[in-house]
Amino acid sequence: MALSSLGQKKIGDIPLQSLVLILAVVVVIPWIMPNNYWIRIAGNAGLWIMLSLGLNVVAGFAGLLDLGYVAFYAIGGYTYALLCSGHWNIHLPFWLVVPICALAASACGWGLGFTSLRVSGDYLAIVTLGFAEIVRLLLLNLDRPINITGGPNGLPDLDFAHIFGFTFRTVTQYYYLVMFFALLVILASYRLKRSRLGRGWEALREDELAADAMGVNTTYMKLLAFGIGASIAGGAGAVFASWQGGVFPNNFGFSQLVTVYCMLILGGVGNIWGVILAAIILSILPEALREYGAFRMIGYGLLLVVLMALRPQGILGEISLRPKRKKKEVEEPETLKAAEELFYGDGSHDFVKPLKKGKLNKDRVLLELKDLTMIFGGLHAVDRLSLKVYEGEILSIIGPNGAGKTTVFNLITGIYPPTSGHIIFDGKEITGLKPHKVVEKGVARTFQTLRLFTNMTVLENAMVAQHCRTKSGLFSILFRLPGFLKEEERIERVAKENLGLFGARLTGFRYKQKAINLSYANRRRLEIARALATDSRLILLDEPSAGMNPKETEEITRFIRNLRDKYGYTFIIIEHKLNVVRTISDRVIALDYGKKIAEGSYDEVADNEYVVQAYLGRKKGRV
Amino acid sequence: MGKIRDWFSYLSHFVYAEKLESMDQILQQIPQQLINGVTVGGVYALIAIGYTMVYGILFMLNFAHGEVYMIGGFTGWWVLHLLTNSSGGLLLNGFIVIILMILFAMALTGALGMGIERFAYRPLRNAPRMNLLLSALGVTIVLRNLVLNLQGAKIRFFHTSALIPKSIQVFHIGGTVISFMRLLVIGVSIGLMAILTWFVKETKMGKAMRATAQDTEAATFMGIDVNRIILLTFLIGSALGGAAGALVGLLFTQVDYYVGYVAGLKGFTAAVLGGIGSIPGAMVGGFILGIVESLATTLISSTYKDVVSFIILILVLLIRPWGILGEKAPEKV
Amino acid sequence: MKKVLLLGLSVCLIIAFSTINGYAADVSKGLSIGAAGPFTGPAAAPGMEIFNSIKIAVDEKNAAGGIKGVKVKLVMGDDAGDAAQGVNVAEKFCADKTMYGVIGPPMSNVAEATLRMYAQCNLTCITTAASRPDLTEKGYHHFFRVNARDDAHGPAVGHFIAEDLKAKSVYVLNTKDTYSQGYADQVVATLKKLGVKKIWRDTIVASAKDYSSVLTRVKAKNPDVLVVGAKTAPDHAVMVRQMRELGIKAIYFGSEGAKDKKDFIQASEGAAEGAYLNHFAPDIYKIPEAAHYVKVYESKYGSLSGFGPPAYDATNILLNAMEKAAADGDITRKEVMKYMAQTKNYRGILGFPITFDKKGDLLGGATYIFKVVGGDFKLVKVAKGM
Repeated sequence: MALSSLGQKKIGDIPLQSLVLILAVVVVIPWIMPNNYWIRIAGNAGLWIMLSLGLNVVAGFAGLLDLGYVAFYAIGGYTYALLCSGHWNIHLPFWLVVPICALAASACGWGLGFTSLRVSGDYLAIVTLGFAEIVRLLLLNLDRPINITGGPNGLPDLDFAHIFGFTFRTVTQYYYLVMFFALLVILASYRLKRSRLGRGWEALREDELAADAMGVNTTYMKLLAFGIGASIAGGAGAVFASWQGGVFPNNFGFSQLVTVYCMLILGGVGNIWGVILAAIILSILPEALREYGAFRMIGYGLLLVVLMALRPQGILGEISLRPKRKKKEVEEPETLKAAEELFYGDGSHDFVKPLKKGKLNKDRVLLELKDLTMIFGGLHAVDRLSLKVYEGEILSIIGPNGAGKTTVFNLITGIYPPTSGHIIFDGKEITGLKPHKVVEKGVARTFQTLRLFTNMTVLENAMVAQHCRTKSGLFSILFRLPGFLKEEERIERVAKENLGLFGARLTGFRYKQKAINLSYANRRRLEIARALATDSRLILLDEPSAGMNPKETEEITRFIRNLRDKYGYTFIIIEHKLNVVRTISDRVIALDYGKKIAEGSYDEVADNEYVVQAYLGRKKGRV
Repeated sequence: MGKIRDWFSYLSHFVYAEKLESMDQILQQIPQQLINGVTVGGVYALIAIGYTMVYGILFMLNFAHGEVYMIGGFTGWWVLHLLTNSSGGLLLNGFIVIILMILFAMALTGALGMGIERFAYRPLRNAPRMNLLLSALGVTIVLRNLVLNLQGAKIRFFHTSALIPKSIQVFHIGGTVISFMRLLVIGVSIGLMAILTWFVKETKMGKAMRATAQDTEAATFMGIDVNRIILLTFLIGSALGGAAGALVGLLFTQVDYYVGYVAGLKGFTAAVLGGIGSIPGAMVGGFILGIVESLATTLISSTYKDVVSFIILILVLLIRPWGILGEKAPEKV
Repeated sequence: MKKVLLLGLSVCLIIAFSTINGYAADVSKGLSIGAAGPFTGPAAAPGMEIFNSIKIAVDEKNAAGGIKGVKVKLVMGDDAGDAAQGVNVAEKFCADKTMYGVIGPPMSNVAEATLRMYAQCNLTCITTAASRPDLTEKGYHHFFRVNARDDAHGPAVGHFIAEDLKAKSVYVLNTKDTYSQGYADQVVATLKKLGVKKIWRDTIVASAKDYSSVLTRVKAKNPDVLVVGAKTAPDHAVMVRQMRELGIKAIYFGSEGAKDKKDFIQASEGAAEGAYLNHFAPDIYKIPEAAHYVKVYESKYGSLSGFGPPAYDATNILLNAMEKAAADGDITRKEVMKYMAQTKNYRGILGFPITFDKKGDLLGGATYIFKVVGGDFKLVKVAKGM
């Protein structure tokens, strides 16, 4: 635990006072409960907290609709039952078995994730539901020819948890055991959420394609989410099995899945404290109603419907449990203000973002397309396109709607693999690389239709961009190793530097503002900042001034030029506003029907006969 | 072929330590299993249509659909019960009773579907999709337990033997048996699907429906009252689910408050198998699922028939992630 | 600080809920018995029949003045058939200081999971349906059952099929639950022992309503007898009906659950004619002592299957034991347990005297085999002495 860093600036760990408070409540509960029944309920709440936080990783953070979640709970439980009972007469120690159960479930999670990589959304839901049904049926039927799971009888008479000579027997003892694991899970999910992994998952949830294009390896992140969610469920299953002293097939049915989802959604998807609170409430509520049979379920169902209508964002929703300290507008470093003044005033200050060192080599080819072709079902969207982009150049691509401009961007950034042809960046072939790999090489983009991670904050949006430049793994995140802390610091610095380029428009209080609350022009700016924060050298801007008023357009035009001049970025820009193209471009390329019809300076291209035809129509009735 | 059979038999041998089945015995079962499969397949298809239509427009999994089916079954039972006198005789001609059962079931479930949409889903139109899912789960729980309270947990029986004359209750073709009820289920389900296809393709409302499914916003601009179309979607989808409930009651003669879960799961599976959002897909998915289940019973075992159908579903989705007849939605960039 | 507020709130909530439970020591402080079982969820139908029968017995007792003038309170503990919830119910009943006995749990899984807990708090349990043999084999003294064990009927049924029906080939189907699986296992083992060569097995899903595909397979085998182990009568009804529809000529032999005139014979609309089935007790409608209970139940809750009568008797046995324990105005759980074990030749509505053996099982149970003749059950054989 990062108690040592107390007093210093802490990066996203549970605040110490919250931790102490939670610990105090957990310790005290058995003392104030009137009887064992309520201690057991409290312990159950702990189990549900573990389960729902595990699901929160898969469905909350990463947004994967995993309806097979309970199967992992079952796998954990049955693994425990097999390894700690007289069934096969294996009696492994508890501290060893729980990790084994978590690993077993996690392996199945990776397996399920791997087979279902190609499907997404609701198809993913049904594949995972199918997986859960298969697991359920296997548990129910694998009692013959060899008795593995005990079939409908389940596996009773499991060992008590036994750790280093101490045996857990009573309700209170088990309560503490469960709570210990629950606290571990809470701590782990808190730390995960505030790490590059957590941001990567959220980006994936918000917009898979944009996440990929910003350098998040979406495939890996999905698998990781499945694996982590499953391992938490597996561990919870082991603890549960040990406490119940047996596992039975109907412990792990659809109704349990429904309960966990209810906790997740009532708590507010992704909101750790909300989910915990919902888990507590939903473990107590049915108990209070247990004497009323079917009425209890009706009440429960109605509550769900009404709550969803009244508080769709969950019970806690936007309320954060972390105390919002009344902060004064934080004084950003002097230099940030300077940055603002440079771009929007006359400016002769230094930047926070270090200037490009060394001279640009204007003759060096940064990107080369060779005979690039993309065919969509017979339609040649891009047709044998060849072009070169030199370092430090601003190249504009113009052409009428449907000319294939955006497709060119999609090909370069790896969203579509080209039908044929080559893409060479900085002397290396990048043809057919996945988008996140392309970003890693140093090519970033913005989208014509804004694709921000709308429910993440401005700062987080920019921080996601550093995903492919960092490499902290699970281990260093969970244990907050120095490498991770240093990396987090760097991520934040880089993000702030790049946001700082836009001055007050994206800094200060805006750091914590959700992207969805930004004005249209600011969203465009944030997209550019996000692309810059990937530390790429070549930036592809898809209609950067679309939807902006003339003043904003002029500003963004100057801004792009400034970026090139001061930082040596290379730009390819798709733009419809020809005055922008004129002021900004070193060179212009015109496309029509996927073919290059003209190339040269703005004036040359603008006067080109074919270009005029493409925009204004052909002469003499040619279709 | 022989090899595959050996393999299957080996598998069932492994599972049951049972003697290998002869090829003859297997072949002899196939026509009967196809009939079994087509019958339940028709029912699955009717349920799947409800899922797929709602999904096509609202992009939500209407979990409550299984319960709508269950209530359809109860409505059918109730009509039959009211039209049966105390000594088991019918008050009306049997065929009229069957028609009334189906119509009433469709009417009531159609209204129920609209009610669910209006009160549980519409307030959440712009909420995240997971919330809709939860609201649907809430409706499921409420409906299921409401029926449990009103009706009790007891299974209700359809006394169907008086509905149709003894002479046409069962037909024999070689060693294969087809009951009248199976023909009825196959006929009515295909008939309803044909009507639906015509409605969606040819009528003004049907076109509006398709337009809404393609682009809700654009449909609004074209003067389509989207709320009405969504209500209509729920009406039709739920009515078909209700019809399925009544038909299954006639076929399998029982209904209880818990049938909705399995039926919903099967219908949902069929919808996804065929390509969710696609009405023909739901039909195809339903029939395929029904036939696969029946054949799996013969070729592998009754124990693992559901495992087989889920494995096939997963395999299909791995090869065609958007289902058999579904359309791959191009990623708009 | 909001978080303090919320955490505090939840603590208050917990405390508020927890005050529901009171404390008591002697009779006047209150007497209650618990009903543990699946009163919602997929097994709610038999569960509610059990609950209603318990309620009738308790109401009758209270109408007659209760125990020492104290009305007995019946507390529902719904576990939805899930062992994890059953454990909560057990903890709740254990913590309830006025509780002296529990009827249930009727599902073997739940009984298994809660056995240890009820034993620890000395709470008498009397189950009316949990039939898994090893429940009474673990040396606990608090657990009794008025129903038969899985291994009670299987051998008798196997003998009947091989010897009386002279079957040469048998197809055995069972649903995947503890009871039916144990039953099928026992039948198959006995048949094998008796030299029946052709035996096939398969499993079915309970309350699936459609067994035609597995029956198609049965038809291809053309067995002499089809044995079906399933817990509830409607499953038997649909099975026998679809079997006849497919033209399968085999004799139908159903497990205990089939003994339900309305839900099996009438529901199958004639298809059940000629079918055999076994039961642990004589026909409830033919027992004079049961007439009153049957009348009350059917007028209040509708038709009755096999799950109600044992629950009614079990409740009365428990109430008797409590009455004896409370005779001195003082009652403890251990006393109730002691008097339960002493129950001897209790004549209730089941048609045979109930005595518990040392393990808590029925002493000297018998298997009654019935045949459906003319739309009613006809006793054809009583197999004793297992």
